[in-house]
Amino acid sequence: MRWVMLRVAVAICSLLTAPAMAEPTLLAAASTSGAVDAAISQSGIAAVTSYGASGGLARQIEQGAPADLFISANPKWMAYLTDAGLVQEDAVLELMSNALVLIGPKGAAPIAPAELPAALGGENFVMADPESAPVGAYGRASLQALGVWEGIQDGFVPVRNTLATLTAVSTEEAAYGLVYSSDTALDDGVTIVARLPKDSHPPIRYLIAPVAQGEDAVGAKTLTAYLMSPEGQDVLADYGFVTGPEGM
Amino acid sequence: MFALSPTEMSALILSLRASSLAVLWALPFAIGLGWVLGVKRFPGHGLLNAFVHLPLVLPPVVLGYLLLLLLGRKGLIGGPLYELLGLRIAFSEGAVVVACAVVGFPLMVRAIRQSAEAIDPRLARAARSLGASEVRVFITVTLPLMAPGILTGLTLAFARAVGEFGATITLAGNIPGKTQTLPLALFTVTQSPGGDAAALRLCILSLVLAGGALLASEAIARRTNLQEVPT
Amino acid sequence: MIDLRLNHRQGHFHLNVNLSLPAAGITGLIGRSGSGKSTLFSCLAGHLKPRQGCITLSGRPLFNSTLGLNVPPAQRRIGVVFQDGLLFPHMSVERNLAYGSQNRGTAFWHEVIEALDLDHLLNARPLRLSGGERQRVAIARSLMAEPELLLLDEPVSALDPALKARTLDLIARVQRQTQIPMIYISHAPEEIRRLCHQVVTLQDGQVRSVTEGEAYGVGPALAAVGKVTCAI
Repeated sequence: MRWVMLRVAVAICSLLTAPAMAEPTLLAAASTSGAVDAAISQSGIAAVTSYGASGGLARQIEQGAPADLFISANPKWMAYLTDAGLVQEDAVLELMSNALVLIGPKGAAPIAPAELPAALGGENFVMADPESAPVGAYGRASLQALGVWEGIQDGFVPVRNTLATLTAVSTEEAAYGLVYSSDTALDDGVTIVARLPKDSHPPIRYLIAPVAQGEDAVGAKTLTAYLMSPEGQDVLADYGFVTGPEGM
Repeated sequence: MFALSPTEMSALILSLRASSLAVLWALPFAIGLGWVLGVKRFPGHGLLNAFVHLPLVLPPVVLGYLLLLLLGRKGLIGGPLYELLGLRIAFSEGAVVVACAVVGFPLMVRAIRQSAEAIDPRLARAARSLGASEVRVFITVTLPLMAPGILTGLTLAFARAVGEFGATITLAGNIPGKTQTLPLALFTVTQSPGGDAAALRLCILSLVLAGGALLASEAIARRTNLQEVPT
Repeated sequence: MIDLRLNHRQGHFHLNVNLSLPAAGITGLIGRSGSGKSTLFSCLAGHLKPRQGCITLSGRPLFNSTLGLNVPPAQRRIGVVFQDGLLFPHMSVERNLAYGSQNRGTAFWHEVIEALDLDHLLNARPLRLSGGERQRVAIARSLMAEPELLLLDEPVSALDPALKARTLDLIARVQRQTQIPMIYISHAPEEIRRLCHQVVTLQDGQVRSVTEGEAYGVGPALAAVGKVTCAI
């Protein structure tokens, strides 16, 4: 009886430690979820994805999360991992870029970015928290460069992420909001009222790099190659991201 | 290392103020519902009980989103409030109080209901036969006997309110000095590399507040058990 | 007179009573458990509303199903003493006694306290009292409210025999002193034959018999069965 139990135990253990099929684990910034999921399904590669805030994911990797690949929306979190020796600096690639837009509730009229404080007229302006979300940090840099940051402080409401921004604007809790152009596809209750100039903020760079803690380094390489290929880049562009040499 | 920055100080004060207001505002409703659920039998009892427990089982962000739909400017309740009174609830300190009240509410009702159920119903009969009106029975007999449950409910709800994050950030935003409570401040500093010292301070503060409330709740429960009449 | 005509169904149990009791002395109400004593008690006190019937106390209508009349317990002036006292646990003895009465400090107040020997217990909490002491406080509490009728539901069954006898004597003495009519419910005939002027026996929800008791003193006329009509 004891030998049977032992055999069963060994069989179970071997199942648990069986080498994975080509299933790389990808940890990616939440704002890329729609586009990356679409690209992965186009590629036919069976990847396991986990989306979240770039900072949260970087911390998870630092704590040993079994990731093969990391996509960060903010270069500082990639630097965080290269400093910790978890990512090779020369293996980091630029995947894509993005643009910033001002949005208003559905049907709102276009405005010039410089008019933002006046157009607000005491109403709320909503944006993901610059302290915690990359889009907020870029947004703050852009609004500061355009000289309107001080003017909007009274009604400024930092929220958790772009989803919350979209909700606040479409329910008219805020008169205007700031999101990535790639986010506007997510909610048809909002209208783009202005595009912020590319040179008003540091370049928005989505970085991708392999991480050596997962179980499928080969799969990670294949997936990276696909995402960087013209076909993969086209899928990403369909979702509002900026790809190709002019964008980056 | 242990001096609080102005942002951290205002987060602490805001948390204390909003959580206290929240439990005080929720209290009369919790007493009413706790008593009704504990003492009365009626069709729909189970449904009402389930409804009261919703905030306990819903993910806080979902709860915050539902509250936003309900209390926002275009919401079912928030809309008329805005039209008639110019009241803006979302993204204000009021929103923090609402979020904290809603998440603490089921805990309060449970504690109060338990003590209401434990009251011998014949005590009310004795009081009535002695000439007391229904109101007098409630105030002089029922309410004092529910007091232990009320105190426990208050402290439990306070502890829960102090730790509330998801519903608060969804309904009130993360405005430093206005809606950034301790948990929100903690979240913010952990989002940047190098915020660890501040995170530790805020963590300790939250533990002290919530832990203190829980200890108080335990002490009350123990003290009042000793006063139970074995009938 | 206490006129009772009650028709009440609760599941399989059916209470059907037509009884005129004199509003004087002590009337015993006995029967096994399930005979309807508690139901009758609750209906009289106003804690339970019978399906049909009427209740009149000394000419005052308290309940009439045809007229839709149901006086709440608070206004019936019918006191109750429960089997386990049921003192308010969060109040001192003195506050318990004062709960239903306006006459704290009057001669009557002191009389009752003396009769039931409660002087030294006034500041005590119910939790600290013995069973016998609790019963005495319960009886005093209901007397303080000066009811027109006092219902006692097995008030001594939880006491030991010596205490039982003393408490019964006490009840008899109090009744003689205050002249408040009492209805004493019990399942133990020996207990109350001595105490009561008459005994009504209930069985299966109906009045089986009315007999004379052995209480001291000229008793009032015996209860009559079947004479109550609920006049409209």
